Amino acid sequence: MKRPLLVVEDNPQDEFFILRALDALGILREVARDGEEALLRMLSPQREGPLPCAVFLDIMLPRVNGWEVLRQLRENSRTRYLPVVMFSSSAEPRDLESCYRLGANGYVHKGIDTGEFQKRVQAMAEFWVKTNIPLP
Amino acid sequence: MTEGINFDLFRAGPNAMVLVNPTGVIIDANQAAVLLFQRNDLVGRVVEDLVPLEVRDRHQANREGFFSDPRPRPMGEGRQLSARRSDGTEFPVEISLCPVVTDQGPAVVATIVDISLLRSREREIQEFTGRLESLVEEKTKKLQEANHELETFISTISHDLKAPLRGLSGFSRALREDCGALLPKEGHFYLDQIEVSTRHLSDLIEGLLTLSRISERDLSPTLVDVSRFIEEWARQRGGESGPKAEWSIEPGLSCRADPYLLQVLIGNLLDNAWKYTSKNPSRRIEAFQKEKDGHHWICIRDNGAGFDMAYRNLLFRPFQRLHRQDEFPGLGIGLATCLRIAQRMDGALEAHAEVGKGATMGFSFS
Repeated sequence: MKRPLLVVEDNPQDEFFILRALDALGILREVARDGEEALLRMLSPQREGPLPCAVFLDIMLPRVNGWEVLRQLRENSRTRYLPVVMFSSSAEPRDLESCYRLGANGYVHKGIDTGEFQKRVQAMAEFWVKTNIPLP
Repeated sequence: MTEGINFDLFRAGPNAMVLVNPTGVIIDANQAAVLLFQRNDLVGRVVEDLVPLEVRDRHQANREGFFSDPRPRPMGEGRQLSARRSDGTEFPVEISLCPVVTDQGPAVVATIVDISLLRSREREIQEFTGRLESLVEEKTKKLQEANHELETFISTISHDLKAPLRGLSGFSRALREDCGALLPKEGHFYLDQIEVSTRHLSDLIEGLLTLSRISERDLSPTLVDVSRFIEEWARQRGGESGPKAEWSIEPGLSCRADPYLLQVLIGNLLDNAWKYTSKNPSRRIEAFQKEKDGHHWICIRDNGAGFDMAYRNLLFRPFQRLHRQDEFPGLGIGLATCLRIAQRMDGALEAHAEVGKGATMGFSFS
């Protein structure tokens, strides 16, 4: 069964741009609209379906934010090596450093130029969905 | 009876004086000394009776030392001296010693000044200074906290502003891509205008973020090769449209500063020089150093539009501009940023200009 890419994003407009970029590449994807929903999909015992092949995870999410989702994913042996790319409006070097220090596999700055943003989304998707061969 | 001592002065003097022979016996004392030590029986006593008990032995040795090399001098230089009254109470004093010759042989006149009042004033001043320092420290801390809060606020707001702006920019782009064929010419013009506004707002947000980073940033000063930075900048911008620029960059310009802040500062000054010379067919930009007021200044001079020095006070205020958008577009945040950087580096920023002749901007870090 083919594993989808999970997009965790609460802003419907950003979701639109991300999905538009992914759909242009024909990438199978699913959406979770906050951190709780994302964790439920991946870590709950009642979850259905396979784990996603990778997660595109926004940092500023209501209730459970992206940092916390990432932390829980890295603590769980099932998702420890799951590729996670963090998304943020911040281009501050310290935010980028924090992401990698907490075990993220990539970082995408959601700039104002959506053309540029979508190119970054596609580059990350190309790598983590198509090029990267997940560990068995 | 004595050589080298004026007894009228000795007796009437306002300061306590005792005349002591080499064996330490007080052979004379004036009325002021009687009052100071609160005893009538000074004459005939050893002078060690007037010093605190714990320094008696040392005093005796010092006295013998004095008579082996008698010369006028203050006593116990660098030490805080105390004297002792008949009731055993002690008080801080300053003592000066002057050798004299009496008809009974050599002696010394010791002048003793009670400095209790001075000491207690000193203590008060110290206490007051201490209180003042802790007050200043407390206020500074509060101010820093408030400042930090403001910076955090600006940075959060700026990031939050990006999301709706991305929507605006992205959907006008999508409109052009997906529905462009259905739009009349005006429609495309309106979309262009939305993009212009979006870019303007985006630049403003980036400017605010840069401004807030200046105070938040942990500084790590290193020696920066300023000449090389400017040369690289000139090379990158040289390819842009507009008149060719003549550059004159003094070799060996360098500055010890946080590299990020320095680059933002110089970058902004160069941006301005570049922009305001863009209408001059023989544009010229110079970078040089000078010494002024004991400080090392690095300056950027251009032969651009310049400005009226009457408006100099507006120059460094955020969002204040001295040129119309249709003359030279801009945000009015560049020099405000430069000033903040100069302040953060405990330095200074100065501007000189003349309308139509150009501007010189200089900075110095302490």
